[in-house]
Amino acid sequence: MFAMQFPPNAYELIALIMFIAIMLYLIVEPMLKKPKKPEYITRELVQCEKCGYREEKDYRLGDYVGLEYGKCPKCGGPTRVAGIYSVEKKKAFKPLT
Amino acid sequence: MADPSALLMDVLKAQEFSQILWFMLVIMIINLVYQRIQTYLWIADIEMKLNTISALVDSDKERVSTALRNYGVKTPELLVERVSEFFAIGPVEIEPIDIIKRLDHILRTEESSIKRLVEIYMPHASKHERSLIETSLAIVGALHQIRKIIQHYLLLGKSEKNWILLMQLYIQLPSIMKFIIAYHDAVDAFITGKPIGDGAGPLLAHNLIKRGNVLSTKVIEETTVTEVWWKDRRVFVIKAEGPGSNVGKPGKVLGDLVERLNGNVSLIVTVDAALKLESEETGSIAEGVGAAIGDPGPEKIAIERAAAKYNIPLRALVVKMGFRDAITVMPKNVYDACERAYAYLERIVEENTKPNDTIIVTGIGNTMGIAG
Repeated sequence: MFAMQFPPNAYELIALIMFIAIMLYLIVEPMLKKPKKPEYITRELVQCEKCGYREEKDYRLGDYVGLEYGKCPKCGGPTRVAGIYSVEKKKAFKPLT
Repeated sequence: MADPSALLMDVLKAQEFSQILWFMLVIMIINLVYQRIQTYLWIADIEMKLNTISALVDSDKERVSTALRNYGVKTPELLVERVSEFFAIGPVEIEPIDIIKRLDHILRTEESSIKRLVEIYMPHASKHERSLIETSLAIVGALHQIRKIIQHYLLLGKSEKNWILLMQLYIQLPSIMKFIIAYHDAVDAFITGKPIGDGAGPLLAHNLIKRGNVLSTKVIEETTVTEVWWKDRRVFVIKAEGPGSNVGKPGKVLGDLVERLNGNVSLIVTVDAALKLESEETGSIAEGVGAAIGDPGPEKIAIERAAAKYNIPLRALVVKMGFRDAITVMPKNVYDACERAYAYLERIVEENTKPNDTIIVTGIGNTMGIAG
């Protein structure tokens, strides 16, 4: 008589499948949501002190903001490093706006 | 055709089995077994994250050791371990009299002790190179301490079966991991000397010096004071001496400068990087009042005291960014924000002062990779 109070096996089977499905979802869900870490590269902005010409170049080890860089390719005036910054690798080679 | 009586027996057996299973589950719930299972899951997760943290800390220690070897240090591991275990004891807080003086003394002693230690190991390196190593060692030291604290609470929780302690650690670990990864990413910038997001204030100060007519320059306590004529106003620009990794003593220098000018200053503006809220954009700019400086106290109070003594308006301009952006290579949007902040500063100065007024602009932050 006691056994008759419990639900039939089909219900238990459904409950077991649901339990396994929930457990699998809880395990897999954080892995699915993991965003890919973007890759960054360092670029530097070189600016002419005379004509204001700007050019973005690859970062050279030892460079710093304010460092004399060389001659301007347009007017021959002195250029300096105006900025050093990181950009996402996939956006790095877009033209300056 | 199956025997109906056998089929009935099978169903009954299966039902008995499920009854036993339910009964065991009830007993487990009563005996709090589920809590133990949960605790083991937390421990497994914490141990997994701790392994990741250990790998990051060890790789950073190795990177700094390699950099030290490149500077000719024969036993870099000794220096790394010594600085990693270095500590500073805070002043007594229940006695507030002269607490700032005592705190300042402890902070200065800590700074000079690390500098001296690095100098002993790297006698032939330049001041700039030593400053990069000092900060890299400080980062590695911070990572080392975080790892030890996590290990401490994990072992304590396990030995005392303190599931509340383990639960707290498990919940806090994702945030701690974010800090650790940010510090790990920062090591590259500090070893190579690239500007970081925290350098937004010094970069703005540098741009201001470049665009004004420089009248004089002086270096006091690793802090540069440049007098420039800008927008028909006499502006004293204060920033840490670059391009090494250095934050200088902007508060003390500003206080001394205000005294030297007998308080004849129309406006003080502090420019700094500020941590953004999650909803805010990196590179957004905000203005306000007060001293924008994130130091433990001595520098900030020196600015506040100088401004309050002579009733000088104290304005603040901040460039907002995330924690990672502040300590890793300056992101492009923060660099662009510094250009916008320059225009913002122009507006603040023009709105609040008259031509020929004397103004002090202080670029707060680490000036690494920024000259001046």
